[in-house]
Amino acid sequence: MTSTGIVLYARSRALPQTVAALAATTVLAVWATHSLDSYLDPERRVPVVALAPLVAATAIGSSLHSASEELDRTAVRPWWRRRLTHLLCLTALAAALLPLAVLSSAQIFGPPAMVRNVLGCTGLTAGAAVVLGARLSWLPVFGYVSAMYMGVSGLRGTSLPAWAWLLEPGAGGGAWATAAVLFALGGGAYAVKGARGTP
Amino acid sequence: MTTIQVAGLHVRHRRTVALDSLDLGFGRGVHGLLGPNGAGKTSLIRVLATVAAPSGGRVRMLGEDIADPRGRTEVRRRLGYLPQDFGYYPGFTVREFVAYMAWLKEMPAARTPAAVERAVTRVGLADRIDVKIRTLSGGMVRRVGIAQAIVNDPAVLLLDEPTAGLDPEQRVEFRELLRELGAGSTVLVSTHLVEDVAAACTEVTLIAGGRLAYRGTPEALTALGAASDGVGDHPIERGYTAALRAHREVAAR
Amino acid sequence: MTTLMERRRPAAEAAPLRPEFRSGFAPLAGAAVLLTLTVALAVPAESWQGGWAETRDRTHAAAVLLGIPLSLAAGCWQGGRERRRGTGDLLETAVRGALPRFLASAVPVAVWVAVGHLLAAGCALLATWYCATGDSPYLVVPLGDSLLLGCAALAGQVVGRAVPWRLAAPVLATAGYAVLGFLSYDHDNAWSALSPLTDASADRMPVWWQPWVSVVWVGGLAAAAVLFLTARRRAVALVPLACATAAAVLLVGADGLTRPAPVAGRQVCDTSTTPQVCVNARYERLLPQIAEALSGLTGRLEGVDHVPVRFEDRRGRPRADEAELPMVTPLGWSVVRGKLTEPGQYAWEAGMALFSRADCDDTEPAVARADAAVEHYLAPSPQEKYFDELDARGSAADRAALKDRQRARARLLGMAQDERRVWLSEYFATAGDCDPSGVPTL
Repeated sequence: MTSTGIVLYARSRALPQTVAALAATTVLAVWATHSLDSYLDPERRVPVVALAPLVAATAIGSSLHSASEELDRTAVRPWWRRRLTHLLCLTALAAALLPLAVLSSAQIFGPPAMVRNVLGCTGLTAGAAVVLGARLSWLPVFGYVSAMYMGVSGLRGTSLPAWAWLLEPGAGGGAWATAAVLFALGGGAYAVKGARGTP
Repeated sequence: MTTIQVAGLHVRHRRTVALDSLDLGFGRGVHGLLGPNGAGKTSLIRVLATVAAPSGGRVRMLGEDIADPRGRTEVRRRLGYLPQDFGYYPGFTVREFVAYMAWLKEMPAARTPAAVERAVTRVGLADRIDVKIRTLSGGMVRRVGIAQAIVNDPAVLLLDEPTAGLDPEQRVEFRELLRELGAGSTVLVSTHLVEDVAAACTEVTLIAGGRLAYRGTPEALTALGAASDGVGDHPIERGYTAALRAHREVAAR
Repeated sequence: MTTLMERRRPAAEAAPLRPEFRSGFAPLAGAAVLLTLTVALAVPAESWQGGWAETRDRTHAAAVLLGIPLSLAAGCWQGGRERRRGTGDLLETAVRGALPRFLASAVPVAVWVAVGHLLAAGCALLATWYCATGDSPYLVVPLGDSLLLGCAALAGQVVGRAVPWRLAAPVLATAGYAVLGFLSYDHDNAWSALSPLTDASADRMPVWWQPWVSVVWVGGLAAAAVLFLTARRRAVALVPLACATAAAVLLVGADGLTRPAPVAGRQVCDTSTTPQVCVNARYERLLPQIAEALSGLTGRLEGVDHVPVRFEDRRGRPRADEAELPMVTPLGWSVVRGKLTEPGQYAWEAGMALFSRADCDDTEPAVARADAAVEHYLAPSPQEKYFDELDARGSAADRAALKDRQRARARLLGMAQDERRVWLSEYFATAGDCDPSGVPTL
């Protein structure tokens, strides 16, 4: 019955659909890198490395929604553990799947950059779920990725500031640190407080 | 024996005061919680359900202080709660939903299937137990809510507007269930339907403007209505309006 | 009494819509568009601030590539509202038709999204205005973009109503990205004309009808979707669909959607110097700064013969008697916010444009020495000192070459003014020649 309880929890958070969405995102990302002829120039992967984690984070963010918010709060089981496991499992899954799209080169916009972006985007989404509610958690990360995608392409030089972690081509330490901090803060806030209840 | 002891309870939502230094105690039996809209009934029930934290005062339930996290967890194990609006997962069957709530209450896995079936049978949904909640009518969804609240045989049961949406026959059966539950545990029912209170409750608590307005048995409230000139069609309705009017006169003074 | 009631009526009619405008999701959507566009524009501000055409193109690109997906998502989210709130059944019973009900919830989001874009575009215009280098603001393109964003929000709302999926909004926006990216990826593609993003460079501008036809194209699609969803007779949707198709045919069939900007073909000149200094009319206000930066160089060339008549700044190669002015564009390098960043470097580049033996197979040491001395005399490179020091620490040959160069420089500087003028006239008569025989030595 314990296993059934976990299965019911997974179904209540639409985890099967979320996993399917992550898988579909991966397939699309693989197809997109292929059709962008990214073997010619790794820079062509930028759309994939920026947008695929965005879609994955959106899917994860919307799985944080609970329909029975009021009843959940009377639960005996400590929520933070469940929330943390939920978030970590999905993030790990996304971080394992999405790099498949950019395997051909590790140096520029390769798997490390993809994993970093998954972490950063998911952290932002989890934080947004605490403030805005899980259903609208895609909005801030969406605005951020949009602004960066457009804005940073016009930046001079190669060294990007910390807030432009999304588009750092290599496995730069600064960008990784920013993304990790975002994930720790957003994920931590979600584990402690949970998503804001919205109708 | 007092299972719920409330002292100096204060609840504030932004600038409005919902409960104003309330002192109350509830023991075993069925307690009707009456009061006009916005009187603070739901605020009280949410604090007792450990969903909302009070802005002041102390609450002791089943011998535990609910401000203490460990005590709160112990209370939640023996608590049943039906919110005014309870969210549910439309894709779940009745059995799955109630089992999920039992799991959240950390009921022993071995006992859960039987407890779920018993709770669903008690609210009269045994024939619909494997039907998706999405396909149920409003009254049936309400009964699913009651079933999840009683699945763990709670020592304290908090029901916010449980009879809304039930048909007359269902309400009669529900009152029977209430009496049965009240024999062993403390049941607090917030309602606007005074007939339910008259029929099923052992005690009446009337709250108005965040303060205690009246406490007594349903019979005493009925007698109060007969003695003073309360307004209403039902004897206990007359008692309700009379008690409310008396409280307002005192408060105005 | 009657007049009083008549006067009050419009306010009462508008009142139910006012909360939708003032609170809820609509202002939030507008703020999201404003914030996203502002950040996307502010980060690379150096590359557009100061040039009106650059500002127009950057704002336009941001509005289309970021604003449209975001507006689609915002509209889609608002469209799912009745489902989330469970008010769908209640609204079905309303006396007002489906279209007014749709518009009551859709228009506030569309308006706020457009307002968010207008504010961002206005900020960009203000940011350029105080350091504008010439030319004049372009207002039609941002106005058209605002309408585009509003239409995208309406279209998004239709999708939100029709698709009961919680990921509909972000997925729609990502699909919007993908479609716009595909259309704009390659401008030789015939379909690229359908993208509202015009392939504009700073010295071209969209033809006057392009923004409006683009709005009809996108707006027609949005209106068709809205009418198909809400009109009692769905065939009505064919009217805007026909307009959209006509606009699309016009866009795809058009013979170029941009034309050369007239202002980019002109230049303004300072004729008091030798050579004269001309700047493209798009950057006319840079002329004093450029003339000032080149004043050392032009002062030293006064009275010297065989020097090019002027530095020109038009499209294409300079004429035979002209030299090319070092590039001002793309903004953000030698010019930032209407200021020349490195006048020394700029003057050196201008000096190097006057003589060049880059096409020659090899240069004799004597000629190279003369070239280096002239380079040093006219406007030395900011890196000259660095290379001299490098040679001073280098091999014996490097040190000998350095000594040679320094001696040549000293000889040119040591000449009397008239003598030097005659020498330079002789030198510039052979500038660019690969035949070393005519080049005067030092």
